[in-house]
Amino acid sequence: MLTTSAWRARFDRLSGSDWYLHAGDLVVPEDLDHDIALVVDGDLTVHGFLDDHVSGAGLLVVLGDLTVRDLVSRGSVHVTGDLHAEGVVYGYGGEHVLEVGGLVHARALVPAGRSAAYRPGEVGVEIDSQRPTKVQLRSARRLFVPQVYDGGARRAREGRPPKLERPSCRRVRARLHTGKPLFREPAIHETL
Amino acid sequence: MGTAALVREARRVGTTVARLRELGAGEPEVARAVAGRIGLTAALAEELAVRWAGDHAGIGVLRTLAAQPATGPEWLALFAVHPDEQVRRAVAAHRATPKPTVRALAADSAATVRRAVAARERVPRRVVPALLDDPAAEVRLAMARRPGADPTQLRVLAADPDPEVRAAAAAHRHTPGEALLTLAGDPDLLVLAALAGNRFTPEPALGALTEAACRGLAGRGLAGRTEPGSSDPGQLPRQIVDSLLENGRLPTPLLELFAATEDRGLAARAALLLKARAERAGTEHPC
Repeated sequence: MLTTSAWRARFDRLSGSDWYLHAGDLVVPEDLDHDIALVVDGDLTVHGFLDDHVSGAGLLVVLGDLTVRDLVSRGSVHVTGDLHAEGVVYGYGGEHVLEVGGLVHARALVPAGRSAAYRPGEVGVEIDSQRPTKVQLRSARRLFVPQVYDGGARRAREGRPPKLERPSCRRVRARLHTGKPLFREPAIHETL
Repeated sequence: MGTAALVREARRVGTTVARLRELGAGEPEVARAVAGRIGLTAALAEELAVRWAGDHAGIGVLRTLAAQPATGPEWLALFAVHPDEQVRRAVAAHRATPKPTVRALAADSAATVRRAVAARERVPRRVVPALLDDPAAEVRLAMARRPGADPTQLRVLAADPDPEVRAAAAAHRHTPGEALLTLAGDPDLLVLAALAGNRFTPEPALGALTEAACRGLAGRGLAGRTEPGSSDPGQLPRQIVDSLLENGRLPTPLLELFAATEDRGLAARAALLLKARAERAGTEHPC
């Protein structure tokens, strides 16, 4: 897993601040542990999942499109263009901010808190951050593997579905970090 | 179907490989979306390269392919001589670029390409001297910011004519102590601020900085220093003081100097730090 700060030689330091700037499109070839404050003046593509709360709290501003396999965020993510995620966009924590000027395309969209501003594009399932409906939770349950729910694996062994609740953030992150699938059906990158 | 709809289809998770192949052979904008896909196979990347390499309309596809992890070393070597600077820059940053190609790109006419070489996770040893002596400051700055920069390289960069490069060397954990000591006498405040925040700055250098900062608070020190790029003239001296106070390795006698300044806020802050240190020392078990 690549840490963004390990790539700081590629960025410019913004004068008088802890922010870094990357001029132009940026492509990250693997999973990204985003641990700095970064502005990408272009598109950002992460060929893996992006987690902004592993080594440190990351802040991200993308002035173009953001494309990721999965995004798990506790920090702040601002995208001027569209956000494309092949898998999940999962926000958690009271201070999490997700602001997308364009559309969000994702297989599953699980925002957190009140600080989420976006327009859903092609989204498989969206779980409302404040009051998720039973329909949303049932759809999510059909999409995700039982192991992303607290007690889901045990219930699956007993032949029962997981409880109707949001997938566990801890379990989602753990599965991403260990390369285990989140969804019952494989994503295209797993079949290509 | 319009271009926008085709681009959406090219980016859609469920689009089949066969369909991606068709889309990649169509309009350049759509092909670019295919080229940037996560999990693209090496075979499909090669097909796209074959289709678009000689087509000027497909420059966006080539730029994307040059940064695509699935693109193979052979194609990267070919892209490295492409007239488009952004294509070469992406090749210079690509992990799979063959070493001889990286060496050639280190002498590229465009500074942005040479900078991308300097910022690589691994830089071929043979090109390091040229990059350290590169005419463009941004290339030398990238060398100074590399987490893997070694003390020999940083010693050279600590004497760089550009203050930003010296500041990056002053902030680096691998810069040798004697180079950091020399930097304590630097005429540029940016360098001093970087030095003050470095946890590996030796005590004599911290002492020199503290004394200068204390004199500065009395309106006498840090005079004649230059502050490139700083819009607030008071910002950097304050940043130096803040960095020194936040530097956990600042010796207690130097902290006492701050506690004795006429700046009441600063003196109180230093006094609190001293108290905290004393309490920590009191609770530590002798062993």
